Amino acid sequence: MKVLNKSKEKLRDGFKRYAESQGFTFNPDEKVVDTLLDGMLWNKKEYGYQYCPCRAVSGDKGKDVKLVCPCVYIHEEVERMGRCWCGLFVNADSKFKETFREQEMQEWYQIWSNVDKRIKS
Amino acid sequence: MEVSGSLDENEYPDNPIEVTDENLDETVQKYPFIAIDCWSSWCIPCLAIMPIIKKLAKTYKGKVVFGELNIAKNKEATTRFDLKAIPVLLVFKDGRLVDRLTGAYGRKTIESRLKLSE
Repeated sequence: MKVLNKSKEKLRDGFKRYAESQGFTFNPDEKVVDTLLDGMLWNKKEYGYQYCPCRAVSGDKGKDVKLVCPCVYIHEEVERMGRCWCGLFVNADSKFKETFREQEMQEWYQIWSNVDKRIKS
Repeated sequence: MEVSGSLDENEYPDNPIEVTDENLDETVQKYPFIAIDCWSSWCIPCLAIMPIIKKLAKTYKGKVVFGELNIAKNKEATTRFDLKAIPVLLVFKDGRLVDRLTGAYGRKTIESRLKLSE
């Protein structure tokens, strides 16, 4: 557990520096960040790389390399949605909630409170 | 659309059923209208829509069946349906894949896409 926590903090620090350099910030919800980092560490253990937990890994390293977080889609997604697909990085210039344009996405944010119940279950 | 076939209505689940590589074909053949939510444990958008899927399964029991397929444990389905970003809702009618909805959408969008109304 100590080793895992150390890896997680290392990952968190690295991503924090990356986010700042790109004009992004971490999701303000720490539980969300924590869960996604856990997922990346799980992927690293399973596949050898810190793949995005919200994308399917094919097993073909050549194809999957673009899924290593921060993935190749991140800039386009943060620009379009105000966040990356999984929600780890958000646009630093606007408030996270305000970046969702559609009503459905507002609804989606509201139910994030339900995430707690499923995390690590 | 009401479910039809040889099953009684009480045989249709009011909770999402677990779908795996092993039972996928059998499951989509068994239920005339089924939407399978493809997810994984660490995917926040997937976790966020799960309560919606659960509610929809209850609300529309007898009209549509909802399933859950964990992509981390079911690689065959992941490859077969060319799943990339998740969550993905795979919609089957009469055993045939007819639609897919990629992303974490709210109840209204899912109802509208599946043409469901109470």
